This record gives sequence, structure tokens and C-alpha cells, in this order.
Amino acid sequence: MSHLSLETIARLVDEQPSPLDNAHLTGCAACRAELEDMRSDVASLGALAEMQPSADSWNRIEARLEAEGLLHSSTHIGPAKTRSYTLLARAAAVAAIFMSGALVGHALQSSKIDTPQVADNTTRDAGTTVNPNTTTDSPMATSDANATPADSRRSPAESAGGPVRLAATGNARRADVQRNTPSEPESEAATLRSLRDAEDRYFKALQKYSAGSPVTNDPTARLAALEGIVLTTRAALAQAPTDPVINGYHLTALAQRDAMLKQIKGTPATSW
Amino acid sequence: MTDQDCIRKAQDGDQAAIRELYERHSPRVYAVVRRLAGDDALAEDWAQEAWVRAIRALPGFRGDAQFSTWIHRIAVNSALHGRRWRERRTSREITLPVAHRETEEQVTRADEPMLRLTLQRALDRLPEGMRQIVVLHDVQGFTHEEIGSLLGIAAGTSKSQLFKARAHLRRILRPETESLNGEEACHI
Repeated sequence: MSHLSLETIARLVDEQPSPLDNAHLTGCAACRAELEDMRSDVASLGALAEMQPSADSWNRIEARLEAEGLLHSSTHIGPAKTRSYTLLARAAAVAAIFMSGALVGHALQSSKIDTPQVADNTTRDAGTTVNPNTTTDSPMATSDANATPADSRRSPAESAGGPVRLAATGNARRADVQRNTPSEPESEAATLRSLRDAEDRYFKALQKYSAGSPVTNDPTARLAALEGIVLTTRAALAQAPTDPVINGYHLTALAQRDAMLKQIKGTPATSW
Repeated sequence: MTDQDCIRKAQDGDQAAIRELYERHSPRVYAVVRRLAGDDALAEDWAQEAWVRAIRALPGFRGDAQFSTWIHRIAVNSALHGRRWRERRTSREITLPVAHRETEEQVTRADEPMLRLTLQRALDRLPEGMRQIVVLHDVQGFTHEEIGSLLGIAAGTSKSQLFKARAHLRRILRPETESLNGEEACHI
């Protein structure tokens, strides 16, 4: 009588022995021992420990992810954009644009101008935001107005987080904008509402400036603010390059800036 | 931070969250890939491929399965894909005869850590096809149906290959078991 083959023993690790195999195992201690050993080996295989990759493994993966555009080393926000992320970027851009516009308007218009209630509130809030220690008519207000959009030059991620800084100034819109921060995730619906609110306020402010504002004596201040808006929308586009709304804002801001440049170039030197 | 928090942030491209997921799951990913590869350098390449694929696919991860299960499956697929690619590339090359290698040192059952190390080394020495089946079934716990699906073979083929592979592994581990290969009479 021969021993059971190793393949048969390997099969018996998982399956019930046939009557013939059983009869053999009953009388053959060597085959029984071999079966027990193989069962033990298989059990040990199933209990093999996890293994650590080499120490530089992540660096190589990271480099490849960056090369493929899946990871941005300079920021914590990669290009794998979800819908909510795009909305956040758009809301950030809109909020920044709105705030810039409000600041420009505030800088260019004196408080003597009679304006609609919404725009008035906007201007007052923005003025408080800029520098509570300066008067709204002072040159400092103009330079501070430029400072807000200039913050967006730091990085696209910071730009996306722009509403945090813009909102951290104590005005009534802070709650709306702060809800858009990545640290306090919110639903898409809430993001959309914030976006619509910001857009609404932005367009109201624009209407006010185009309809009621007098010709300013300081076009360079307006140019600087427009440049800030261009930078803001450009930073937002870096995060959401295909977003039609941000593209629209960007193109509008570019056109406004170019028009202002032309206006400045065409202004006689005596106007300085 | 839970895996779910990590995943949510990683889906938005948060680098720190992606790194965190890697730290948590890389040992398991690397283990399955390393065992399928039978070689450190190859395993590093396949693990890298697995992670890149996973990060690429992450925005579409809906959480129907656990992340560990999901990434594990990606790792297995990456390794199998890597193997097929390598086979295609080397199929035109001349196959050198495999040099005779010493059998693994015998270890006792009481010496479990050494047994596991010996098992790992023996796995590395299995022919690639056999190693795949043993790793997928005995190490990773895939069923023959799943293995058949992964490798494009019948479940019955997976089963018969497993038994051959176990027998081969046994011969590597304990050369004296050759005597149980039906060649010697059983004196009962």
C-alpha cells in the first residue's frame, strides 16, 4: 500500500476525505502527521503578518501622484475636484470679488452719496472690515481696499480659503461665508445658498456703482482694485479652470481693468 | 480621524488625508503585493501602481465596501496586471533554466516566528503561477470562484492548482516529504 500523494493530502486540508482516503489515514500515522503539518502550514500562511514597504515608498508614490496631477505638493488641495469643492471655490471667488467691489466702491464714493439700502450696508460693512481706525474718505481706505484681494495672491488654496479671512472681520455676512470653510463641511445646498447670496450682493453692488456713482477723481485706485479682482478670479480659476461662472467673472474683471487702463492712459496729465 | 473622514478629505485632494490613508493601509497593501510578487523590487513597483490607481479612483469611491477591502482588491488587481504585463514582455526572451536551490531549513512547530519567515521565503520560491494561487487562497482568503474570476480560469482549475502548489510548497519546506509522494510503501 502506498502513502497518499502530497496533492491528495493538500486537498484533504480543505475537503472531507473519501472513504478510501479515510481508511488509509486511519492506519497510516505518517500520512496523518503529514496532513496535520500541512494544515498547520496553511493556517500559518493565513496568519502571515502585514509587511512594511520601504521607507521611501511614499515619496515615490507622492512624486508620481504629483506628476500625474493627482496631488499638489504646495497645497493641501489637489485637482480631484468634487462638485462641492468647485462650489466652494466659486463661492470663495464670488465672496472675494464682492468684497473687493464693495471696498472699491467704498473707497471711491463718499458717504454723502445717497444709495440704496443694500449697497449702503455693503459699503459700511466693508469699510469697517478694512480698517476701523481710518476714516472712510481717507487715502488709507483706498490702499486697504487693495489689500483684501491681494491676499489671494498667496496660493490657490489660500484663495479657496479666502472667505475665512474675508469673513473674519465681524460683519453680518461672516456666518454665511464661514460656513464655506473646509474645516466646517456643509451640504452642497448650503454652499449653493451662500453662493447665490454672495452673487446677489455682488450684482447689487455693481448696479449701484454703475448707476449712481460719480466720476471718480482717482482712477488708479479703481484700477488697483480691479487688478486685485483679476488676481482673485485667476486664483479661483487655478482651482476650477472649467467653471463657467468664475470664467465669466474673470473675463469681466479683465475687461473692466483694461478699460480702466485705457481711461488712465487717455487722461491728461493735468488731471493728476 | 476615522477612515471615512480621511476618505472624504482625500476625495477633495487633501494631501494630508491621502497620506494618512496610505499610512494606515500600506502594510496590508504591501503584504499582498509583496507575496504575489515574490520579490521586493517588483513589489514596490506594484504597490506604487496600486496606490496611484486607488487615488485616481478615489473620487468615485462611494463607501459601499470598506476602504480596506476596496484598496486590497485594487492591490491584488495591480499585482496580477503587473504580472501579466511582465509575462508578455518576457515571453519573447529566452528562459534560463532555474538553478537548483537549497531547500529551506527545517523548523519546528514550536518555532512559529521562524516558521512564518520560512513560509515567506518558501512562498517566494514557488513558481509564479503557484504562488499566486497560494497567496490568494491560503494567505488572502479568496475563494476559488473569486480567484477564477481574477485570473480568468475555472474555479476547478484554481482548486487543482492550489493542491499542486501546496504540495510543491511542502517539498520546499521539508524535502523528506518526498518520501510521502506515493513512492514508498506504507507499512501498515
